[in-house]
Order: sequence, then structure tokens, then C-alpha cells
Amino acid sequence: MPYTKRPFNFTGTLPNQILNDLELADDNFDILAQAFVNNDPASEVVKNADTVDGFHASQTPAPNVIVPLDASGILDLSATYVKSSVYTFRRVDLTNATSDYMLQVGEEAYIRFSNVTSVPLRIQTDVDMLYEIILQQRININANTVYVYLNPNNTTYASSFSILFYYWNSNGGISWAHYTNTDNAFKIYNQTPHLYMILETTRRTLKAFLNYEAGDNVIGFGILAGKWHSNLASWTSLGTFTFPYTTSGYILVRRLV
Amino acid sequence: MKVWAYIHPQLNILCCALLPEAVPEGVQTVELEVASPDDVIYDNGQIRVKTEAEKLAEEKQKKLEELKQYVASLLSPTDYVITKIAEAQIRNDTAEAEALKQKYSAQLQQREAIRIWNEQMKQAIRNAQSLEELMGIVIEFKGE
Repeated sequence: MPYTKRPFNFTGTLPNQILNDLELADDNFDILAQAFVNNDPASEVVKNADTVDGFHASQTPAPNVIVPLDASGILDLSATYVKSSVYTFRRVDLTNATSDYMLQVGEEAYIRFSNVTSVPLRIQTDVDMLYEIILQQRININANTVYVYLNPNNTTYASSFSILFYYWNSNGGISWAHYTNTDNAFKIYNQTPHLYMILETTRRTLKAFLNYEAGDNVIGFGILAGKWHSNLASWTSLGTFTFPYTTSGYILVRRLV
Repeated sequence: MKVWAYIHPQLNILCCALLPEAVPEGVQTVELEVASPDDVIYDNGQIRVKTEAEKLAEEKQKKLEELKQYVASLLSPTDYVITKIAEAQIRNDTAEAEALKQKYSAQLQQREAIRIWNEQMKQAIRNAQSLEELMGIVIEFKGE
């Protein structure tokens, strides 16, 4: 039953023309009615009216769903507007970045690395910023008395950093792992640490907890705190992680403030 | 790794850039291939890489400090035994001191074993002839 555009063509000479034209008109009304919910124009609701280019709109985010702007015209992802617990950080892949990127609040940088000894984060920074950093390595080796570092501004500054670590391990070991006020960068533990860190750029401090495996079936847990105690050099680039061995893995950096 | 070592123009301290663009503009650098930026020193107005002997001596000091901290953590849980015995001796209560030594003989033997192990470890660290040998020394007390 095809839709016929402008079906009436009355000349007054063809037999049964009125009947034929009325049948075409009925067909068209049927087709038009099918565009409404329950095939009833009285419902005043057109079928599929909530899609744009085939995408539905909803305040519950989901794949291929349009989230509407709020009454102020803002894309409001707060819990009071969008009824969802879905992860709302926007991911930026900086794996192959060659210049620094200014991570915005609510953005997450993803940096994958493979068989390297250093990983530049390529993140521009300034004072009054707060980051969450997750470092996950794919290897498990015994790396005693050699250390992972985070080098702000991708360089070292002689005797400008204070750091302390403490550890517990599954052999029953509990002890200081390291402490100093004269490091050349943020020292981030020995062994192959997998860590969660909070770093802020005003007081230039970091705190972290981590686990490591020491090359065998041991599991260790460590805590650390660090401070860049000189503030004479501006902190403009978040830095570079350096490793005392060749490693692979990934780093997530989320800007919270 | 490659580093670009320089004296920071404002801070007047040694810095080692890990990326060439991290060097402040107009600053002279020394390009070096090192295992770690910690291997670079500023010595008598000259930027240079530490010698193997310097690195070994430095790492021995770090290892000895690590050992000291570890032994302290092993001994501290039984320090109360020593305090109790010492208090009895201060009171000239010889019988009580002897009784405490008997009561805590297992802890005292453990402390003695830790101290003997500590001396052996210190000697092993001091005797290490290379960084590789030194790094192979694991500080972990396995005695009962």
C-alpha cells in the first residue's frame, strides 16, 4: 500500500473516478495514521520522535544515547541531573603525544608504554592542580635498591626532594624501605611498584600506596609520601617516570582540580 | 638513557633533563649516556659521571642504612624483654632478672641470632667488590 502524493486528479470524464480517488485517500490516511503511536493520530504522539539520526535521548547515559542539556543549556553530568553512575571522565590517549597537553578537570590521560626505561607523561601543568595517578606495570622482577622516579619538568633538581617509604610483605617483613631529604626527583619506590598516587602542584607533595611482587611469589604493600621542597623553579610539565629496568604497562592520570 | 646535564641558571644546582626540550633556553648542557640520572655529579666545577668505585661506595652506604633500619624493625618487637630484665637488674633483684631470662629465653636467643646475622650482612656488604655483587645481597632475615 504505497503512499500517493496528491492522489486526486478529477477530470469529470473517467468512470468510477470518485470511488478510486476516495480509496487512494483512505490508503493515504491509513499510512499517515501509522506514523502515530497505536496508529492513532488522536494520541498526538508521533512514533520515533525521540530519536535524532536514529539516536534516542535520555538522562540515563548509555551507548548511542543522547544526553540532553539542562535548563541552563549546560551538559550537566552531576548525579542530581543525569541519573547514572557511569564513568564520566573523558579519556585522552597521550600514548604517542609529542608535546604537552593541558589536561582539563574531569579528563583522564591514558599512556601505554612498552619495553621502555622512561615515560614522559606529556601533560602541561601549573599551580593549584590535583591529580590522581595510577601506574600499572606488566612485569615482576626483583629490583632491590634501584628506584622508579617521577621527574617534574622532565628533569632532575639536585637535592630538592624529600621522600619516605614504609613496607609490609608476605614474608612478615615490616620496615622502612627508604627515607631522605636530598633526592633529585620524586623517588617512587624500588621493586616493580603498581601504585595509586595523589599529587598536587601547590605544596608540591604526593602520597601513594602500592603493591609489588619482588620477582617471586611474595606480595608487598608500601606507602610513601614525597615533597619537592624547592619552589624556585615553576612546575610546568607534570613530568617523566623513569625506571631502572625495561618495562611495559600503562599510566592513568586524572585531573581532579 | 640519554640525559642533558646542566647547572640551573637560577637555582645554581645540577639538573639532568630527560628530554632535550626540558633544558631552559640558552643553557649549556653536557649530553651523557647513563644508567640513571643519579649517576651524574657536579664535582669541582665539572659535570661528570660517577666512577664505578664512587657508585659502589655510595650504594654500600645505602645498603648499610637499609640493613640498620631492617634490624631495628626486627628487634623492636622484643625490646620490652630487655627493659624488664634491665629494670630487675637496676633494683638489684638478681633472682627476678634470672627468672626473666629463663622466661624469655626464646626471645633472647632470637635477638642474638638477629645480631649475629646483622654482623654477617654488614661484612658481606663491606666486602662486595662490584655493584652486581652488592645488588645481589638480599636483606631478609630467615632465622627462627
